Amino acid sequence: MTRAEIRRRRDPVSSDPVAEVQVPNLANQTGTAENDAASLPADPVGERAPGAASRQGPRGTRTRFGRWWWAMPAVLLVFSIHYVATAFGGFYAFTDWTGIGSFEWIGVQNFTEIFADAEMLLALGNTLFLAFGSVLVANVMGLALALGLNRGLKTRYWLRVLFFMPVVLSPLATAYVWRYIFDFDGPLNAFLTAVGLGDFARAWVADPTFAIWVVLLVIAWQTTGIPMVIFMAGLAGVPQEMEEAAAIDGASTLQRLWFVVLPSLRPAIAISTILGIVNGLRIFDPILAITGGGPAGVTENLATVVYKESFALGNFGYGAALALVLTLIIIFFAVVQQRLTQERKD
Amino acid sequence: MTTDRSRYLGRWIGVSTVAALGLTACGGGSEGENGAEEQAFSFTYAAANNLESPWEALAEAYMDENPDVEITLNSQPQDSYGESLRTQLQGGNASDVMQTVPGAGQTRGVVSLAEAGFLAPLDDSAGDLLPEGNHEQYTFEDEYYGVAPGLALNGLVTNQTTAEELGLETFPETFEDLIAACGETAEGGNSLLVLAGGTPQNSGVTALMAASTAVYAEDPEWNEKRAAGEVTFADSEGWQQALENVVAMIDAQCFQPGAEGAGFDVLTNSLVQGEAMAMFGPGGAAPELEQANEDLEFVLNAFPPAEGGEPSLQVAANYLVSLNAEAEDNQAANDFIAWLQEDRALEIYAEVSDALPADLENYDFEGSSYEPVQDLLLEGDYYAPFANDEWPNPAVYEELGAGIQGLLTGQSTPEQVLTAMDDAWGE
Repeated sequence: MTRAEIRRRRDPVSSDPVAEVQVPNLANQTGTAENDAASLPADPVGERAPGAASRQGPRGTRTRFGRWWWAMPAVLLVFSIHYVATAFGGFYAFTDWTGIGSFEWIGVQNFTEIFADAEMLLALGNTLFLAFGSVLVANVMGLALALGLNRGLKTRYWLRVLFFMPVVLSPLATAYVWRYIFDFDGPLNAFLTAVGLGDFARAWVADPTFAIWVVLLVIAWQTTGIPMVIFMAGLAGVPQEMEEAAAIDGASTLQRLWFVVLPSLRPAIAISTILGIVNGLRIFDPILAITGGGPAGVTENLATVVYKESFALGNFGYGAALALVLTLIIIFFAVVQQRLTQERKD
Repeated sequence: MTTDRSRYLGRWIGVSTVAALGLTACGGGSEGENGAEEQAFSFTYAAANNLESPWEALAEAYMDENPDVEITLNSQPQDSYGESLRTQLQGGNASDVMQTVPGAGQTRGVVSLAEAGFLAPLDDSAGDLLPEGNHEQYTFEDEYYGVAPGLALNGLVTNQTTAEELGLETFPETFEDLIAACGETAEGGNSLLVLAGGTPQNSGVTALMAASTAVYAEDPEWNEKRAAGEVTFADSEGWQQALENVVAMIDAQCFQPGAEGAGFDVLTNSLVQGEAMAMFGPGGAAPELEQANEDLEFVLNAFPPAEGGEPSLQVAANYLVSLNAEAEDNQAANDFIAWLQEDRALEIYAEVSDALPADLENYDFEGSSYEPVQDLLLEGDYYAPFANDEWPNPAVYEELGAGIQGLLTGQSTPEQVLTAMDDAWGE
């Protein structure tokens, strides 16, 4: 007795003449027990053979309608909360609204002001610098940690938790801790002074040269755990035999990394960089906590300027225009990364 | 059979409960219509710390005096109060009575909110207790939109105990003496002034202090001229001098090392630990610092003018209480706002907030932290409102605060800062 026959006996629905026609047909096409089993209507909604649904009549129609209907609450919520709100925000980008009272339609004036303002261009540059810089540093560090903690070390499970911990902790809270470390009276300057390097002590978070690097360092520290986990998942898919075969063929450690491990990690690298860039473009908490955008605006990025203009300074229309620019930049990089990943898959 | 009966009973209990709840809700509404709701209103205000809020004290005192009145208090964080208030007003769920600030220079500015139609006009008596030169910051189209239960004074909050220990018995009376004292103090490993350069609010106040003597003492109408387009920051000799004075203080090491990145915490820590002698800030900070270290005495001094110049104080009602336009007919809310100008309310506000009372003539200065500036306060001619209250938008003050940080780090020059302020002012 085949599994199809057993199921027909147990399931009264299978006594439906349509089902009775369907299964033997498929079994006859394939002719093997395994394929016969694979064609069982285990998932009556999505796994039927082509043409089967159209012959199911009212039952099939009900099922398809149900699937569409079930998704509607989520679709409506996402649409109304996210996309409608975004569309309204996009509308205000073309007005001079201050956040209260009436407003006037001013066309693209906000956008021309943005691209004519040197401070906004600096914020745009900082946005890209922090996004790509943090992705680069976090991915290199994440890969190194993943390789080091992949196998071998007895304490690797504890170390994985340790290195992943910054991702779990509140970004705002840890940013304040970092601010304390980099304060003029903080432990870093105390250490420098103690080892005779007191001349290098400075107000790091208010230094026009170093402040942006401090922010980058903190962001990289906070986010390195994510690529580490992604790469460890990717490394689990690299066959150990392949590495051993390469070693037997005389490949050095670096050669094995370059020619065996990294090619296998390409999908993981793509995912990690997509997530890193999209998140990096909208970094907000660490900048606000560490430098507040200073000194004199040199560490502002688009996200902090959007907040400042919209809520602190009451230029809601201008802030909405900035937010729209930031959204377009994020969409651009997300699409580029998506395309690259898709080509690789093809 | 038992199951059917249980279901039947369950349905009746459910229906009865819903009906009872509905009737109770209706009954509550009618009770409110009989008087309780007419004697109730809500009051929102900002709170910055865990100390007793003067607004809460005022509301409780009013409810004690008027047992029929119920005030629902909505405390909100100080740092995001303006944004929250605007959002609530725009959304139509703001409180009936709200704390605001004078002018249009902040997001919670009474003039901006009145212009947008969110506030109800008040009786002309709202202006009775205001100091000279301040009235325009409470009015829109000649109507008052806020009452002030007290006055604030910005100055140099000075640790008198440490100053005397370091040989500074009297505070410098001229700017030149101040610069000389800075050098002497720095040589001893301390700093005369402590500055939170990382916060635009504190660095902005520093510049406004300098401007109060260099600009507003000589030309109290300067802001009006700027609004009329007759003058600009960049072309103003007074403003140039004010920022040059800030640069001179930086060069003379008046401020503590690392001032460019310091936050508010550094201000209090440095003063309480005796590492610095004075900070720019509101007079109400002096008693609060004394609470932190009871062995120290804090007083308020005026920023010293240049040799031959005139001293000036920034005195203004820094907080107001306004009425929501939607609550214009709420008699209880109107009565509360009127009560805020009575002597009892003024006393409570002055006592809890450590602010100057609105009625300066009858204030006892002896032994208070305001004693060093008693003469200036009573002469009254030197009153200068908080300059930024008269500015048209918050961006001008933001540029000033960020600009002072730029002066500290060497990123900016006074000319660049003043030009940025003109750009932010707009036309």
